[in-house]
Amino acid sequence: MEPILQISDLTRTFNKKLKALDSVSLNVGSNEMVALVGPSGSGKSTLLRHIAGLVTSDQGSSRIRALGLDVQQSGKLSKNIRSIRSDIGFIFQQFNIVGRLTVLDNVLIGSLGRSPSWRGTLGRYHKSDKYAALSALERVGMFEYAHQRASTLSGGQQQRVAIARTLVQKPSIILADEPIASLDPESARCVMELLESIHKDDGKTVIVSLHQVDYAIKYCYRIIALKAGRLFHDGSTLDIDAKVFSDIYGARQETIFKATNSFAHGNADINLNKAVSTATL
Amino acid sequence: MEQHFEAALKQNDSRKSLTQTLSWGIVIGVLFWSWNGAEMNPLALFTDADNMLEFAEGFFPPNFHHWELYLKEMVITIQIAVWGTALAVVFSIPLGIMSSENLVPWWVYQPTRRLMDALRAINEMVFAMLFVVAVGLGPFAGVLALFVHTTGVLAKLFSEAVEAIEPGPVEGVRSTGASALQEIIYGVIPQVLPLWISYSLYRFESNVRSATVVGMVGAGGIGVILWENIRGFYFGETCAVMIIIVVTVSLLDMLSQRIRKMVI
Ligand SMILES: Nc1ncnc2c1ncn2[C@@H]1O[C@H](COP(=O)(O)OP(=O)(O)O)[C@@H](O)[C@H]1O
Ligand SMILES: [Mg+2]
Repeated sequence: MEPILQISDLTRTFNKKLKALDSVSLNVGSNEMVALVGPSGSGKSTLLRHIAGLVTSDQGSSRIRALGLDVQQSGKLSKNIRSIRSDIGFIFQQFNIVGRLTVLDNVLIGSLGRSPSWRGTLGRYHKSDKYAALSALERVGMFEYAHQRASTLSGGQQQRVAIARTLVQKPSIILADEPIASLDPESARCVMELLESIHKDDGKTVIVSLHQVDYAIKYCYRIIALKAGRLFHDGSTLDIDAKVFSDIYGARQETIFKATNSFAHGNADINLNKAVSTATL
Repeated sequence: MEQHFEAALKQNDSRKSLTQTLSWGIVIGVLFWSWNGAEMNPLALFTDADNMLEFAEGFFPPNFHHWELYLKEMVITIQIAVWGTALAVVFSIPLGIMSSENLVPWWVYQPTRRLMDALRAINEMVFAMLFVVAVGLGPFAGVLALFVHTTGVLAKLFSEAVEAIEPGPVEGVRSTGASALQEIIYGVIPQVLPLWISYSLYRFESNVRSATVVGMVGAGGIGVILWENIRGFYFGETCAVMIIIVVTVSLLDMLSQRIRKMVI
C-alpha cells in the first residue's frame, strides 16, 4: 500500500543560495506519530508548509504526494490543492486564529473546505457543522468560551481553539509546527495530550515539530531530525541514543537527553519529569 | 575614554545641524519661488481695508427669512453625501482589495492603483461639472461626483489597511482548504473592518462639506442657494446659509466622531 505521505527529493532555495531544504526524501505511513526535530533554522517549518501546500518547492524533481494525490511537483501546486489542504490539518506555533471573530466562528472555519462553497462564503453553515464545532470545543475543553472573542483568550486557550478548528476539518493528516513553543508547561502538556489523543483515538497521522526532546520521546514513536535543510536522522525513538542528539544540537545537550530518556522509557518519578520538561533545546 | 564619547557626540551634532540647515534652505527656497506665481500682495489687506469692512458689514445681520428653504436644501445636501459615500464604500471594497499587493499579483494592483490615483487627482468640483453636463442639473450629478472621487480615496485607504494585516490568520484559513474569496471574508475582512468603518465615516464627514459646494456648479443641494445669493449680492442671506452649513457640518462631525470612537 502507498504510504500516506511521500516526499521525494524536496529542495527549496531562498534568495538564490540558502537551501532551506536540500533534497529531502521520506515516507510516512498511515497511523504514525512522528516528531520532527532540529535546531532553529534547520527547515522544520519550511518542510511542514510544503507538505500542506502553503508554499512551493524549487523546480526540478521535488515532489510531495499525500493520500495518494499530488500536493505539489516541481514547484507547482496541484490543481485541486484546496481539497487536499482540507484533508491536511495544520496547527501553527502562533495559532493563526482570527482574533476578532468569536471562538465558535473560528472553529467553524474548519468546515469551509468540506462544505459547498456558497454555504461557507455566505456563512450559512449546516447544522451538522455547528454541532461538530461545538463538540470539538467540548473535546478541547473550550465549550464555555464559544461566544467569546478569540483575541481575549490566553495562548494555551487559543491553541486549543486552533486544534478544535482542525478537528472540525476532519483531516487524515495533522501537521503541527512547534505547537507548544510559545506555551507554558501546563498548556503545552494539554496540547500534546490532545495531539496524542487525535493520533491514538481518531487514528490520524500526526507530524509534530518540537523543540523539546523530552516531549518528542514521550509522545512519538518515530523521530526525524533535520540539520541545515538535510535529513539528518530518521528512526525509532526507542533506539535513539545520546550521540544523535549531541550531533544534532551540539554536545551540551547530552546530559539533558540522558535524564529525559531514562524517564521516558523507564519509570522515573514525576519530579524528574517536571525538571526535565522545562529544559528546552 | 570620555574623549572618545565627546568625539562621537560632536559628530552626531554636526550631522544633525547640517540636515537642519539644508531643510530650512529648501523650505525658504520653495516659498520664494511661489511668491510671484501666487501674486502675493499682503499690502492689499491694508490699502483695501475700508472696502473689506464695508463688504463684511453687508453680512450682518444674517437674514433667515427663507430658513425653511435653506433647511430643506441642507437636508438634500446631506442626502447627496449619504449616497455619494455609500456607493463609494460599496465599490471601494473590491477595488481596495484589488489594490493590495499582499492579496493580488502586480498586474492587478498596478492598473487598479493607477485608476484610483486618477479618480483621486481630480477634484469633486471637476467631476460635478462633468456630470452636470452628462446627467443634467440637480443632486444626482452631485452624488455621482462625490461617488467617483471618494472611491479613489477610500480604495486607497482600504488597501493600506489590508496591507497592514497579520498574514497568520489568513494562512490559518487557507490551511483548512478555503477558497480565495473565503480567505478574504474570514481572514482579511475581520482584521480591517474597524478601520474601514472609521475611514468611511471620516469620508462621510468630508463629503458633507464637499456636497455644500458641488451645488455651485449646478449639482444640487445648498450650494445652489449659496451661489445664487453670492451672485445677487444678497450677503445677509449668504451669511444665514453659511451659519446653517457651519452648524450642520459641526453636528455631523461630532456624531460621526462618536461612532468612529465606538468601532475602533
Ligand atoms: N520566506 C522566507 N524567506 C527567506 N528565507 C526563509 C524564508 N522562510 C524560511 N527561510 C529560511 O529558511 C531556513 C529554514 O527556516 P525554517 O523552516 O523556519 O526553520 P525552523 O522551522 O527549523 O526553525 C532559515 O534559514 C530561514 O531563515
Ligand atoms: Mg519553525
